[in-house]
Amino acid sequence: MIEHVLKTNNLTKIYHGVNVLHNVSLTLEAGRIYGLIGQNGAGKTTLMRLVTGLSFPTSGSIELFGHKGESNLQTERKRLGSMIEYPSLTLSMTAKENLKLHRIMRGIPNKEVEDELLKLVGLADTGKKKVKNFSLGMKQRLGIAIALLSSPELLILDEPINGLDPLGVVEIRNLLKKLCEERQMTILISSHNLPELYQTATDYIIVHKGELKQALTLEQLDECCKQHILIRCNEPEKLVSVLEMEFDTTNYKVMPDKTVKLYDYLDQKERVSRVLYENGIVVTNLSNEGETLENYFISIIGGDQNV
Amino acid sequence: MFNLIQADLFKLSKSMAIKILFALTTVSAVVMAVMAYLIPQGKIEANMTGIGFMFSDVNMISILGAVIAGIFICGDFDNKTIHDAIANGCSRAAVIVSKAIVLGCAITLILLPYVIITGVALSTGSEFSMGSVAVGFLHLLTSSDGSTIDIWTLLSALVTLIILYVAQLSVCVPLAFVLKKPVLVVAIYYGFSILTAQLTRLSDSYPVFGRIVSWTPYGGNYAFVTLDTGTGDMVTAITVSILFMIVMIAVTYSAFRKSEIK
Repeated sequence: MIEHVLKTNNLTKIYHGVNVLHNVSLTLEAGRIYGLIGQNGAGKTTLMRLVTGLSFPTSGSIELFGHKGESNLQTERKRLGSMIEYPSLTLSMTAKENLKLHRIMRGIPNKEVEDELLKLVGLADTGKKKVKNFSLGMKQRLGIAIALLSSPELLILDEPINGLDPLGVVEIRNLLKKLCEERQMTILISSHNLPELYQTATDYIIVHKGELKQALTLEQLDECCKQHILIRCNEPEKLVSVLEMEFDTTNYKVMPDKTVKLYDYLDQKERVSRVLYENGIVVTNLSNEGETLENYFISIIGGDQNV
Repeated sequence: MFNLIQADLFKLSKSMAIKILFALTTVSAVVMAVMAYLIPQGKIEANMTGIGFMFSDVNMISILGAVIAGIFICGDFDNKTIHDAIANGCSRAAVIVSKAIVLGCAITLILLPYVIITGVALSTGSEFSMGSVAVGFLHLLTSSDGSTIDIWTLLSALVTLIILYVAQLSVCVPLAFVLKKPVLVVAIYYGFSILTAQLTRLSDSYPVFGRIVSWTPYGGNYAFVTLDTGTGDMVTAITVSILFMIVMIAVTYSAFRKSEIK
């Protein structure tokens, strides 16, 4: 059984001489929610457009469900659902008519799916209201419903929570998590709302200026962002034994650069400093560390820039 | 592809635009027929033929046919229906062919008032005239001498003209897929239709030019079908039209096959 639903190999896209994506290689595994993070113009939408066949790579390849080649990709795209940039909606139709249009287009015979999806995204009571009279949030919900029509195995959503009210954001988050858990759906989602993404995604892909900067799991991100006291000293081995003997804790981690991350006593920095001094350890750094996803993202892309 | 056609027909059935265009061609067809009836009776001055021509099928379809192409092809780029079809595994060829077929259906639909009114008017045996400006259904109407009509000959002539119009408007398919702007499609096609009418006149002076144009639905005497036109000429008109549509679809495919869909 193929574990990965999407694999890109050195995917590169050049628009008018500008490298919009450069050698992006990533793998998406089944049943996970991938948060795609990057600044405006980082290449997030371009990556999604390449996967969905709206654009063609300058070089590199895409593998969907273990299949390569344009003809195979076209077939495999029937297993995708997507909403890129803004939803595909006919404004003069109602929500149900829009769903019917896309259901017919995809050859789905089950008419009941229209009502089920409208209920799922909270648009069951829109009746004869035309989509042109919908709020931005309602249009986003309908776009998600359309993307879900064919029960996709890979759902690609570009900024799906744009325009949603706080309650709507929570509903969509819960919906995505439910789809992932119950249907083993893989979801690739981009968003500028990093705190929200932090609560939704199980994996993170950070792109910057067309390059893949980092791909990490939620656990790895938590590890990177977890609040701790960072201690740098001349004798890390002795430091570890002092922590265990004097502070009675093993909740620390020795890093490859010989610094130690202490996850306890976060609000007792003075005591930690004094005890280390009394035990003859020369401390060169003792600071509170730990980041939010925003700060971590900024540190990865190397600057204090607009996310 | 069948799903795409079905979906587009569903969309067509829900479209207010097509209903408005249908109403417009219905009114125009009635006005055209009434004027063509009243002019030979002297109830309307003969110099009103210019106005009568404005309501004729060739003029209305040159504008409204391109409007339909703009709405149903360019519109589907705007509302991302085409994006969605491709992202869900439909081939670009299937998208083009389905759009061309539905465009043909829509053009046929808005031509129906002219078809029906021409058929009904001819069956009355009355005299119709629009001077020398008659083309298409109006020419069919005004060229009749009022004698008994063979229903199959009439149907053949009507079907030939429908296919001819659909073929002429198939130029809008590549235009719409490449330009993606309805205004440009309408303006360019209307200009193109005027240009082809002028070019066709050149064939009187340059027979070679005439032979070249006769390989398109704009040339020959294809738009001047009458009840006396022979079966061979109608078959030629239909064959040229179908070949031209195939060429237009191929041109569209070559332009759209690897294009970025923004």
